[in-house]
Amino acid sequence: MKNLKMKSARAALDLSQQQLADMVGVSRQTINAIEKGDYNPTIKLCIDICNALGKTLDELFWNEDN
Amino acid sequence: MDSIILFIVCFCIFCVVLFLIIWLGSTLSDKNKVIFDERQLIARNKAYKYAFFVLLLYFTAVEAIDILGVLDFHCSSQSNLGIGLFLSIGTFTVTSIFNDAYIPIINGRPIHSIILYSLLGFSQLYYGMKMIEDNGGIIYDGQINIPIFLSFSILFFMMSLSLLIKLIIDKKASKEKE
Repeated sequence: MKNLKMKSARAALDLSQQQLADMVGVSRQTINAIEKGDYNPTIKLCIDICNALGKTLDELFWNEDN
Repeated sequence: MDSIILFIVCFCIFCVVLFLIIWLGSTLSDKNKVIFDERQLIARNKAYKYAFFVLLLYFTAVEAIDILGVLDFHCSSQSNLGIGLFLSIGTFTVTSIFNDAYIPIINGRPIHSIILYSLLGFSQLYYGMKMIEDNGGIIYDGQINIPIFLSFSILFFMMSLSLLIKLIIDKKASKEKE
């Protein structure tokens, strides 16, 4: 399932996928895979991404359908 | 008996020297060390698994064909080894490349590897064809003898082609808006 919340949070800060990837210490392809819903990150990576984007886990990774 | 002991001693010395070279190389190249992120590690682990099972299935199939006597001819052990290695290493490499978990992709220098693999492919192809010419064909001594060089030349060409395709895909993807 696509993670549009993460994509819009990243866009709101005017960050490219590469910039966000550098901030959290992963590859650009990993950020792309998370946004497209092709990869489920570990909790550690989720927290790092939240810290980088200034959001909470619920705001970025909670799926309302659950 | 003496020759066996000598072989074991030489093999042990070779292993120690190889270990020292690899250790020195990894210590000196810490600056350029490739670190895989969690997704890439998972992708590489999957690639290793696929490669292992491909190799296992291949040798099982070869032995089954041999035992059942389905074919009138069989491959030499060198040919079987070459084809098995080609399938296994090829599986690992192609899976890693298309999951963005291959070192030249991560370093951002796939062109160097494409050129290197192509050159290696051509050199292996030359030696392979020369061996076939010297032996007067692939089939001799009542069995198929595919030179191991030929298997590796196909492997290197396959790796080179995979990297090239991946490079084109990545370039097209980077042109699209994120």
